[in-house]
Amino acid sequence: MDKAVEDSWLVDIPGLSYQDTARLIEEVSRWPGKLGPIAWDPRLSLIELFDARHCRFLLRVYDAAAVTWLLPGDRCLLEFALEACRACLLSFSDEVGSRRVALLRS
Amino acid sequence: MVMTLNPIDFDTAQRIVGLVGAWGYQARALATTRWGMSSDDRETVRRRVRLLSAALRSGRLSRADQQSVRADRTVLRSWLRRTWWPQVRYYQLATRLDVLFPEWAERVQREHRPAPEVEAAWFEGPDPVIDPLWRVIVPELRASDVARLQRVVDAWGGDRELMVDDPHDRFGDAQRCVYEVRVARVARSCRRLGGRASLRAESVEEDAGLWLLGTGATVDGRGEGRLMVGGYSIEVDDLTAEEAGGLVELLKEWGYRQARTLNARAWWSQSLPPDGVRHNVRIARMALRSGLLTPDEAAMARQDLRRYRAWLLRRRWWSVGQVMRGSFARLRGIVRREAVDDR
Repeated sequence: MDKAVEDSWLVDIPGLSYQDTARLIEEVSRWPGKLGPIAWDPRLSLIELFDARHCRFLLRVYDAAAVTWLLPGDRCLLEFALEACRACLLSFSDEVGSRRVALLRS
Repeated sequence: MVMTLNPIDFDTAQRIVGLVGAWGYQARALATTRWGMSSDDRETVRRRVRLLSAALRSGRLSRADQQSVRADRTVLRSWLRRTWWPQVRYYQLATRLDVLFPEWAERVQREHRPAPEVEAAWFEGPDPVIDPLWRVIVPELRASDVARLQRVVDAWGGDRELMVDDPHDRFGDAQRCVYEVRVARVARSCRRLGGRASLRAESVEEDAGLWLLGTGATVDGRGEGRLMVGGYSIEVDDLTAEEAGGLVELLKEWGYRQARTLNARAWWSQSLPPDGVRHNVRIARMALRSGLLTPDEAAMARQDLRRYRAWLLRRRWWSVGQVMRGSFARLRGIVRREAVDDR
């Protein structure tokens, strides 16, 4: 992957324990620049990583759900999720994803 | 535990990977141009589960997508079960008392590991091929026959689920779908369209547009704009054309002469509760008043208005027809009595 092109990064650390999270936060807080670490408890928030392929899958799923009768709150979340998926596809550099977004916008 | 930082540069990401690598973790740096991260609370996850169920119910997903949706739903439900607050408190208690009761604490912590990642299924392979999906439409289906149908589907074996959808669903072909998008767009351009009706028009425009894109339906502008209204929509997981035909034959034997199969890829379905119909009346009326519709579109809009109004009248808690008939009967009675009195 070209690090010159990709200027913004995430780090995925599967199975990071509570103790090590605290250690990591302490460590990166000492580094220069304001990294602003935030810890998420996976038992209170469901954290997911996704790529363009998953976004396209979600678009198909939410598109299918949109034709059914939904509670107002669910409809609201659906619209928000569709928007979020499209925004993510726009931000992804994936070529197929970009084509799909172009189709959706036309 | 998951930790997030502000978007970080490549060098910082590599530094973190190196640091936690020394602690025994297999970390990886992911470019945000290819990867996104989301965090959902319990309520949002519950709603997502309902959306996944609705997507399955719509019958518009390919088999591969259906499998992925079921897998996704299982993961989400499992996370919801494990993160039920007494479970979380139990885990926290075990973590605090792990010095006193190490074996018990270790067992609890093992059972309450964070939910597995749901990303793995999306990495490889092309997008799934979209198979035709079949439904059966049955007007006036009796509740007792739903149970009979369920027994028939159970006899097919496997873990297949019968779903019976709202009789108010309407199905339109691609031409009809294009027409609805056009009417919604014209109506939205009218300033007087109310807030909710405007939202409804926006949603029609969006949904119908997505359906047209998803099915790859082509419209030559000469279609009939067919619309199918009413009837219970029966869906079974992975229903093939042959099975759908078999179900229709069976339903005809049971007395449902109007039962028919329907390819969910060729027919756009719309669920319309009474409020949705009322908004559609307003949308059609506004589009007609705007004068921007072609003569054909205007004719269809007028026909729709008549249909919607008839449907709304039939669905009132009191029947307008009964009241009118009663009024006429009373009027006739009064006229007769007066005629008799005159004699």
